[in-house]
Amino acid sequence: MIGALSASVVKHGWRSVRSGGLPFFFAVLMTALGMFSLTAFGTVLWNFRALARAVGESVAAVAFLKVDDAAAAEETRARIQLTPGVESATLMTPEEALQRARRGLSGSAALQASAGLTMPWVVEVVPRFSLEDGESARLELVQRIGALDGVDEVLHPGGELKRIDALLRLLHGAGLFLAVLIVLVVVVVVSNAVRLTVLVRKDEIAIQKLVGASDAFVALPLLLSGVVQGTLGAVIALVTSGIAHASLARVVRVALSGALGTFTLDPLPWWILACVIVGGALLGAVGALLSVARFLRTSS
Amino acid sequence: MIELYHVGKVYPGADRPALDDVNLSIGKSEFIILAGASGAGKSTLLRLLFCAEQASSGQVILQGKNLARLSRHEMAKARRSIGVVFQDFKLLPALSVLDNIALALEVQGLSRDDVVRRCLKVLNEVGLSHKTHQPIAALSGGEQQRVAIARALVVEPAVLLCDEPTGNLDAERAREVMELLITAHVRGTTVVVATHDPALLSGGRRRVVALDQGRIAHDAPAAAARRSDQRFDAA
Repeated sequence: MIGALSASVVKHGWRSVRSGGLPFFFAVLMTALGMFSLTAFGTVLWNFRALARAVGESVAAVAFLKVDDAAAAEETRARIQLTPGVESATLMTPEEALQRARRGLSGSAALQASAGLTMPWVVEVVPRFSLEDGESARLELVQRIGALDGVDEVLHPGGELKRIDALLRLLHGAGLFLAVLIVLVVVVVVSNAVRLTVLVRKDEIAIQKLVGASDAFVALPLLLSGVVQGTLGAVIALVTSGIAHASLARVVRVALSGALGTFTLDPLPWWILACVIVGGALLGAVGALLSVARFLRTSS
Repeated sequence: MIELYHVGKVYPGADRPALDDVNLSIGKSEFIILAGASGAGKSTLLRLLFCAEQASSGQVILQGKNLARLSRHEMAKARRSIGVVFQDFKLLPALSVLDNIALALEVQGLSRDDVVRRCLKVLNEVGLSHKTHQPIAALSGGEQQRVAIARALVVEPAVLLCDEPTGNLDAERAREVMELLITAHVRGTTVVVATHDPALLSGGRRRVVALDQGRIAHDAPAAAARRSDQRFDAA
């Protein structure tokens, strides 16, 4: 019986799709446009996160030690290495540290002033970087290392990371706003398209009710029509995104590759693409449900 | 089978009730003709019986169930045991004859094979087996009415309600339609026909319930009803 009902739902759903006409086409187009915007924005965000991760992993903290010999310096390095949140800790002798500092000051007036400068034993600390950790987590790590025996001072050039954090927050906020806007637009457009389909098929639905159709029998084909609209829109958006990615990936790689290495514009992973399709289908279903529920409330 | 207790129906804005204190009992396998002029309340009474309207007062009991107390789901279920035939057929012109009739079975969740088998059987009975795949729009009025009857009969209904089933047909087609209704009645279906066609009152043994301005004016076998009508006409 369920199989026979499913066949009827598909049959009448297909009839709803065919009778959708221009509103159906418009709803698919709007869904595709919305989903394409989301996918494009998602691709930017996804790649920006990869870029931010590369930057974050390249920024190291420097711990200046207050020890006199190599054995004590190595012992302190080992303690730093064992501190949670530390990816790697590399010991530098005072001479190596001085050379590194001079390389950093290359060409500047400060280099002239560095004559006669001495450096302590230094440990270069690479924190275990995660985009989800905020600035406070990084400050905490610096404080933990600074509190260890043998550590005099810890410097962490967090400026870049702060800017990345701020930009990521901005992008996430903008993405959320865009997503909410697109969800609303798609739901409203699909809902109106289904409402017009209901109007077109009003007589047929009235006759179905007359011969004993349940609410589910009337509603499911219309819901199916909404799901088809949403899914079609999402698939079109993904195809368009794929074409756009293929066209732009090379240009972006050339434009953005530099000091941090080769930048590649990665496509979104398959599970996000699957989510886009499922999301399109769900939005279509929700839009259709709104119209169908209103129609069933007012029909006898 | 069907009981109406003090049933009234008032449409918003109407100057008088469409039905006023109607009491009626229709037994299993009866053939009832609801007679009366236009506006007498025949169609309203039928609409109450197939749950398209709710009574403003009183109770309508169909197969032991008070129709006012049915949930939407139960109402849909109740409609599946009722066949309805309209004067304007209420068929879908874009669909084929088969698909129009199949609709009544599809809502019950029958398999496609069962649906087709039962549709072909009923089409054979109404003499339209050669028109199975034709669109409704290509049929004559009489043929369309037979399709409507086939759709009503294919569910093997306990009750068959017909609202002016011969109103749009010539005498010959009207006789064919009546024969189909009588055949259904002979098989045990309760048939209620609303009509103002005097020709349909000629079957002497059928019960005729005459409505006048929403009230039952007569409830008698056809012959008695005719005599009563003549008396009123003479007056």
